[in-house]
Amino acid sequence: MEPATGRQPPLLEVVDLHTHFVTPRGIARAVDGVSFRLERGRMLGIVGESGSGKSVLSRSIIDILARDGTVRYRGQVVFEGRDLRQLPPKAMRDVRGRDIAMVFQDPMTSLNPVMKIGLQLTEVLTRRRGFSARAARTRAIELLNAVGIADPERQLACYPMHLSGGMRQRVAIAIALAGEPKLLIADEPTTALDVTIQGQILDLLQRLQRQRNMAVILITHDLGVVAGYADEVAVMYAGQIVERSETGELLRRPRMPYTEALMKSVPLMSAPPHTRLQSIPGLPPNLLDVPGGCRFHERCRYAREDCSERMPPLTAKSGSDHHFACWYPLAAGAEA
Amino acid sequence: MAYLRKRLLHLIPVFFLVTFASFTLVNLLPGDVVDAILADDQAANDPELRRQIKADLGLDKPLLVRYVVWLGDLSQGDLGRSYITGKKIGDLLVQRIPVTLQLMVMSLVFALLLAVPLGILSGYRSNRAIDRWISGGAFGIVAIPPFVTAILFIWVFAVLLDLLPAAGHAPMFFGVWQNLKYFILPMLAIGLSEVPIFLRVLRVDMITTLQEDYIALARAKGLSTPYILFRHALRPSLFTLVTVLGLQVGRLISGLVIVENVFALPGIGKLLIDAIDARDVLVVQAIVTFSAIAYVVINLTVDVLYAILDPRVSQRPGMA
Amino acid sequence: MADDSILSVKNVSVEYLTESGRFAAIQNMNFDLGEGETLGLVGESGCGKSTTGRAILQLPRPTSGQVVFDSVDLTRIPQRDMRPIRRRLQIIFQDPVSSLNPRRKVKDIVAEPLVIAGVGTRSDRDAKVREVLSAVGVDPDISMDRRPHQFSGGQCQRICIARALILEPTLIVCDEPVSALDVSVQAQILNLLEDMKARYGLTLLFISHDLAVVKNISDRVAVMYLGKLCEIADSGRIYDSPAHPYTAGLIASIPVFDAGSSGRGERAVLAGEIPSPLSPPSGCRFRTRCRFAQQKCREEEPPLRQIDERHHVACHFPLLA
Repeated sequence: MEPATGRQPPLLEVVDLHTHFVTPRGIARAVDGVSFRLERGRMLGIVGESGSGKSVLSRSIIDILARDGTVRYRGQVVFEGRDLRQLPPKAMRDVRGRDIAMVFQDPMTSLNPVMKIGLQLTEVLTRRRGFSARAARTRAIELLNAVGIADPERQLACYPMHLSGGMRQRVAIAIALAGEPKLLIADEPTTALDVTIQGQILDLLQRLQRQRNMAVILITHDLGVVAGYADEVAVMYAGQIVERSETGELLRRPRMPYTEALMKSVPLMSAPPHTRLQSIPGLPPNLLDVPGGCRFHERCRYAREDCSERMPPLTAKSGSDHHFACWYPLAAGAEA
Repeated sequence: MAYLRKRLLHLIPVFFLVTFASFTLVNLLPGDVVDAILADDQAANDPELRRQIKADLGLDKPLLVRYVVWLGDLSQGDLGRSYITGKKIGDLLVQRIPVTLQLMVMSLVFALLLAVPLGILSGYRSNRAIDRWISGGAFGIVAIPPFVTAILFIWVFAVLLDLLPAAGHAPMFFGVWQNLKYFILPMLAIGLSEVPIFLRVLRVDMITTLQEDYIALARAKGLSTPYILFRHALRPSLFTLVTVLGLQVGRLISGLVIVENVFALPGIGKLLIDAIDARDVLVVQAIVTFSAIAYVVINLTVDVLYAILDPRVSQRPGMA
Repeated sequence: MADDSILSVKNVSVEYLTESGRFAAIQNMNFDLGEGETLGLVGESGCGKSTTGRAILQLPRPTSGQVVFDSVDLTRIPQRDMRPIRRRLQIIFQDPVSSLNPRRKVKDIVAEPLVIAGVGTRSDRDAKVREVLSAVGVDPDISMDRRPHQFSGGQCQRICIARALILEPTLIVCDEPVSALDVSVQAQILNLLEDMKARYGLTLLFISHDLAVVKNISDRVAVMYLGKLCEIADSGRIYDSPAHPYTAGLIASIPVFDAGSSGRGERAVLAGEIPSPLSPPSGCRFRTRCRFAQQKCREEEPPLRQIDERHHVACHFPLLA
């Protein structure tokens, strides 16, 4: 242990993580050199489009990608001072579901359709935390109450199909909470839900995060979701984090052109009808064949010659916590 | 259970169709039961005697009339008497069915005990070495028909090693082991031939299931791999297997006929062959009817099993 | 029906028979669409917005009511007479990849409506295909002989739009056309629809669950809830001063990140779940989730009434601007 200097190590520190998939057509660099830290009780939003690697990153952290022999990892995932990549499988199982829990995008598919809600909730308690069947049931009812499910005792005997999408996502959150996790990873938890339900679920996640001083990684494609809830944001593009900062700072003063372009391509509620959107030309790169240099250079309107030659590192100016990976960043004073 | 009632109503036309078709087909068999009864007798050439026998058996009447008479008797639980031995066919079946049923159940249980764990393992480690070995082995078995394995087993276990009897049967009252040892080789012969199909089907479903989010969630819960495979993944992966199981029973019935004859097991398979040899039409008819009903009942059970496997089949939520 | 309306939907209901009786997917829908106008149709799942779009194309024909397109009541004409009308009435779907036949070449997919309509010679058609493909931003030289799987989702949606445009229709029903796309690609398609609208003089019915997208593209917006129209008004107006509590709740639910709004605002999130459309609440269908609901809302169904020029709302107690 470190001597008591007053500085706690971060809850989670990801160091130069690579997750590559071996495919018949080559190596897909889904996550390619990602580093970040997350302190206790904070919510980190990870934003990116499809194929940016945000979901693979979340699954890499708790190592639940399919074990079909096609996954290649490199780098470290340090949780409370231990590198999870070096843990034996048994110890890693203790981390999953207890220290780190996960909520998935679509509650239609993330709950087992042929198992009752009760068992899906209590099995974590009885099998991982040594609860008796009776105690687990009591605890399960408490958990369902905590996530705002009415009449929890009756719900235990239901199958997922009997619940609405919003209710299922609440159950999925209750399952995640059963292990009393220190870190909750929510992978697009509201994308499959209606807007009015989306707000309810995000509010619930935020309330639980604060009550339990839980760290949360919120993965989303929606900048609006991040803006309303996350303490800090990381923007991913083609398997890398290209910008990372405190939320307000990042949204007010994006430095990486991709972040700016992403923000400008979203229709704003405050803009009048028929406002021309600034779309990003081209397509995100093919992960089997990523461009050299900065991965965004082909679509970047500020790109210069050397952008295609050298890859910009993710760095911050001294004294600032605003990290970005760009040779020619946007002016720090410019408002988005 | 309105669904079940509807299925049962559908069975009525099926029953008439199957019994009438088999009645017609059996009667189209070349040869004559009179030849079998009179065997090598010179009397075989006596036309008057022949007509007399036919009239006694009711064979002088038209096919349709005989079918209706047969149906009438059947409705009173009378399957008729064997033309050859004069024994009641109902009694014959009651003697023979348990033997066949025991062989069938043992074979299926054996096949599933082998196929389910191997299928799960194969799906879990798909395209790895262990999966290739299992799949390769399965292909090997598929290539050999059951009667060849049957003969091979007799040669190895009965002739070379002298561990098990080559053929025959001992009823239960001789003791459980006495009874079972006659069943082991036929069970292996039939069961093994079913393993590859069960295994392949389960493997494919298992691979699909293991890619589901709820499996990822189960892993994220920190549950152990065997628990995830058996509790979370197995049940949703059983659909095709259960369907195939129902369909295979039909094939199994034909397999039983051959294997029972090879091992001289007195089940209905052996009875069927003997009856066909003797043109004992009513016996053949009874067996065909029985197998058809058994087949339909088994597939009905399969439908019920679907509902048990997946609550979504029987209970629909409010919104369609 | 206003003079400049090209489409008029009058009292349209679509009902289905289910195991538990009749169920109305949409009930008494009423709205007009002016020539060259874009009407946005928003609502949550199960509100009947897609059913409305399809009812206009007579897919299926509505159970009751009239759909008057260019002075012809589509619900009364025989199927045979529907054919020439379909040329001027096109639809674009949510999932571009699955709405293109994977085995056919792009040029055949785009030309198909021409072939069915029996328009032009082969070389005429090829020229027309080139023109629309270029218009939607797909290079005809590269794309014509390829098949859909060789394109991204955004490119496939462009091809779908080209197919819809080739007969130079008057009205296009766009059913969630950008919901399956990433934000950066979504912006490309929204801009493209605006361009095509100007170039081909189109009228659009734009169906979406995303209020920000609808606001961006629409002149007017109609809000639906459980098979009924709640409110319809010009888009500037409806977003600034919604009169129906549901519209207000829907707008408040959208997480925004506009400059200055970052950090956490207190948002009035709508409570409760969407009731099953199979057994909607009595009276006003929204009352179970409405903060302002009173006894009257339970007993009496509010009719759609005009509260201002071009602003209609179905609420007993509309919010005041």
